[in-house]
Amino acid sequence: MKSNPFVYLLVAIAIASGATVLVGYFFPSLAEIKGEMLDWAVIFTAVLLLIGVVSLVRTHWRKTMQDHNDRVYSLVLIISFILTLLVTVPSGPTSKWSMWLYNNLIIPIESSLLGILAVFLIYACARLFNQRMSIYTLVFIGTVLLAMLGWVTIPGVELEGFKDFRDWLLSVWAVAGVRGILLGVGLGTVATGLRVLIGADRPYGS
Amino acid sequence: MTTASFASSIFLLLFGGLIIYFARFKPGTSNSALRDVPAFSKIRRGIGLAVEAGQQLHLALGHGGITGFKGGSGLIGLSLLERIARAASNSDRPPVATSGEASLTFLSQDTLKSVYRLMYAESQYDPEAGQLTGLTPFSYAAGAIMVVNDPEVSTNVFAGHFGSEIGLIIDAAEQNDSLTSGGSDDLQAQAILYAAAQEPLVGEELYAAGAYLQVNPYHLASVRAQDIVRWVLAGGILAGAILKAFGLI
Amino acid sequence: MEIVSCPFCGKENPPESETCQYCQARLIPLKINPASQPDSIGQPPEEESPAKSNKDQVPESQDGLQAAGEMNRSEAAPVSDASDWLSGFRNQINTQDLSSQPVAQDDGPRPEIRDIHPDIESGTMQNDSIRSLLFTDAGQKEEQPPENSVIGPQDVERTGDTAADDLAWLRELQSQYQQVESLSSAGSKKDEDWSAANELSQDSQKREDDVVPSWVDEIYAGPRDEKEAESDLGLSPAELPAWLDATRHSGTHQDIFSIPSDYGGQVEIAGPLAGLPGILPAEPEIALGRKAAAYPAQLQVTETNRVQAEIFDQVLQSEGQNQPIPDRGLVTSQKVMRMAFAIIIIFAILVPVFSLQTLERYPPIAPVAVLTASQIISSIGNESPVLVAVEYEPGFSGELDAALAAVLDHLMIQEAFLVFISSNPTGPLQAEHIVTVSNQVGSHQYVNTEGQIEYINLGFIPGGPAGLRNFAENPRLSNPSDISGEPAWQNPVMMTVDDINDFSLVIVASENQDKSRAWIEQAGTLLANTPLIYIVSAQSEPLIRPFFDATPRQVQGIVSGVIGSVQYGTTIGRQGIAQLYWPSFNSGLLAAAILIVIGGGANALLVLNAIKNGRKKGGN
Repeated sequence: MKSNPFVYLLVAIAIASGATVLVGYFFPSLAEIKGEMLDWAVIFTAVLLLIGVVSLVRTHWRKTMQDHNDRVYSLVLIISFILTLLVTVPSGPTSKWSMWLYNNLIIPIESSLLGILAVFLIYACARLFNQRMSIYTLVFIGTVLLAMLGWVTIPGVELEGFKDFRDWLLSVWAVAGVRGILLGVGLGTVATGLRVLIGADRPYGS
Repeated sequence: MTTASFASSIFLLLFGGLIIYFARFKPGTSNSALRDVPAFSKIRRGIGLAVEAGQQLHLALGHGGITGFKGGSGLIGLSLLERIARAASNSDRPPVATSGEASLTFLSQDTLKSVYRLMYAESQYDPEAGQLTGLTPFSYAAGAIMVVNDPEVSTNVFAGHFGSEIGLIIDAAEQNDSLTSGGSDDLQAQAILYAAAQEPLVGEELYAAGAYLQVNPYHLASVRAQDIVRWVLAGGILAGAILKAFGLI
Repeated sequence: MEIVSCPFCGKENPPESETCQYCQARLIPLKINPASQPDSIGQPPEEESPAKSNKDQVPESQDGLQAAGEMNRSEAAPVSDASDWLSGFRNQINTQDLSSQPVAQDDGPRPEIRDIHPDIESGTMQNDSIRSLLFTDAGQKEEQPPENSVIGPQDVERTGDTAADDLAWLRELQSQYQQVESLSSAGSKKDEDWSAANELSQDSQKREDDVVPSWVDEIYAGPRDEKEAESDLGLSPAELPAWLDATRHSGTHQDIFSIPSDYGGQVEIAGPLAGLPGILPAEPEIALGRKAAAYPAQLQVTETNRVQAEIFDQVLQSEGQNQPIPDRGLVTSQKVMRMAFAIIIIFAILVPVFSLQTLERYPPIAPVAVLTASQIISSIGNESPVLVAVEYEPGFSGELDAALAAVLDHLMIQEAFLVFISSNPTGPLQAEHIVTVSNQVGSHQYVNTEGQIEYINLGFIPGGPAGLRNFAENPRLSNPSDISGEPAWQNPVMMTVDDINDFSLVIVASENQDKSRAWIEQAGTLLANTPLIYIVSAQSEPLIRPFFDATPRQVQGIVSGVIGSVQYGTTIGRQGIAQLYWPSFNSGLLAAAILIVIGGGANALLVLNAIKNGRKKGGN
């Protein structure tokens, strides 16, 4: 495979930038440069957000023009985008009509999706044994049931024991497990960042 | 430089040195160094199906971007995308990558383009192979569902930062009878993946994906370095707990 | 009865047959009349067609040449018989010096004549092959030029002239062969052919006697009479090398056709190499007429091979066919189960809404985190700036609106000055929404107008954690104006705030543990005396609790989900949204637990049954 020589310049820039910001955290003398570069990163992120919006609209516009199966949904997206622009740009994002759109469209739609998610999770838990028959599945289901029973109140039934057990489960086992996972995730993130710093990983193409 | 900064810099230098040492001087092979993780076998099988059976592979990169703590999983996703694209570049249906953040979208497009350029098949590159499906988590999930519902998609790999909305994508994939596999750095997403996905990656297994799928030797070296550092941290925590219990610190 | 084997097909024929019954090959080679042969090569024969004068003497035969061979066989004459037409060659060759000494330059390359008499007798010689086998390329023979000889143009010409003279006998011989060929093709002219062949053979025998070296004759006919050789050529016979001597065959015609027992290899039975062992067959094996080995017509395959071949055949046949995508059924068992689950959950949620009886049993005890949060807010003074970070998505409004509304209700009671901020793009809008909800539920009048400003919405913080750090260090520079574009820091309350530590309280409402942790890591480290309270979703409470349980506490209070908001409302004695949600939430949670128990148990039994019956492998 042939490699573009320009890539080496990109690698050099990436390594230099990353190293400068990292060293800036440890040496106060470089904190100013670090801050400047972080400001650039913030600006780039904001600009990328804007470009992402344009890219999204352009992709769905292309789908609308082509004979695509889901062109109707792409058309709905474009219409919604234009409508939102027309409403929010003149009057601001927190104007009356903007908030009407937010309160009556965005919140109900996303809340409905979360409701569907709740049903799906209950169904997934119910058929977890069918997918993965092991002792860990039993522990998983048992923990879920204990957590739920620790919250509910049933008339005529004392569930304080479940509540105390749930609190103990959450404060000891869940927290311990979370910390262990977070440690591993943190190490993985550090390793990923170091690979980018030494040029082993090039997410910017090669 | 404070003590914490000094310790952090030493830690980073040692970690980086271990990675370079294992990559350069003790390469090793994945078969000998890594335990068996069924999820990666299924992912490899999905890549093979994409090439041989003309089916499509969908890689979800999440909405975490490449900055901050969430950026690590996004970079892992990009490494996987490069590996999958290299393997499935001559497939009838090249892989498609969805993301919920603009920087990830452009990087995914750039990664795919680079792979096709290296394969001397730049004409086959399709910019729509790297899609921005939404700018918020739920809108991203709604857009990704459209991709997952394609009957030609046989394998869905999740590698990035997701929230609870990953359950919606997995639900759509289950209805499409396609394989769901992957991981996230977010704990809620991991819990949902464990309950709903066919082959979940729990904890830091996602960060070992590059080593299992043989992206490059540095990934395997990173896994081995992580193992050593993990043992060191575990030992330090245990020692600290014992010392604290005896009132020594 | 004497049996004659055909030299071509190997089949047996009666001794009187002139041609093979199976392949029509001549069993009796043609014989040329030696009388018609010239005394030396190059000289024309004495008679042009001597064969015609002797036609009466020729027995009936299809081919005069074969008759000659038959006559020779009946006489059982050796190969070195004087009637052999090659004897003329022999005589000529015997006069030549065949030693290893270098050939004289003026002689030039002289063609060597091989004894083809046995081949003619055996009838294996074809007419065309006679000419080709008569002479070998003299140039192939290694020649050692004289040491002091210099080859000049005159020598080349002399060599050419000599070669031309030497080849004259060849032309004579060719003419004689043509006569023989014409005799062999005319099947009706038996007598004439016979005499002509006899004469030709005699002529050729004469030339052979003159030209063919004695050692060649000895190879086929055995050791010659030394006296005879000496009398013919006046030369003593050469001593043959051992390897050449070993290749000699000393047998008769019958020996030629029989395979010696001490030889394991195949012995040639036809042609000029007849009798020599280890010779590559001149004719292909197919001409030998051996019976072909019988192979079964059916291909011998195993059952596995057959199955694999069928699969391969199916794959090939389906390769060019379009595989229609199977239609996904509208109603599947999975969809039915999902629908059933959804109906049950929705029913459980709606029953408390429409039932006359309300569930008044709330969670009895408020946890320490909730109590602490309520105590901190109770200590907030009038017009104290409180920073509220709205970091949750619109989808989580159902849960976190209830929790945040309860806290905001308490803050509004305290008449705190609220400052909203968010690192979510939809956060500012969510902040406006929650203010509206709190006003409706708690009957407050928190507004942001020109005449009355009770809260400020600073909008969106770009850049993620880096942006948070910037805001925490210098909020005025990070967000100088509010979401409507008006200057935010000219308000008398805001003018007292220079950094995040100047706020009386910081509240973070988030469903995501990453965002929650980002605030703790980026802004919490700068908070010296300012308390930090978290309003989180129930899913992320375990992740934030360690910060509350730590020493020193990094988070001073936690209100978690619907339960936390119910407990908080109970603590401050206010009825908020959570109390409205609680009955439905409680019954829905209970229904979910029952569904998981029943569904999980049923699935577990089915799987165990399948494993027992051996239909399914165990899980991971």
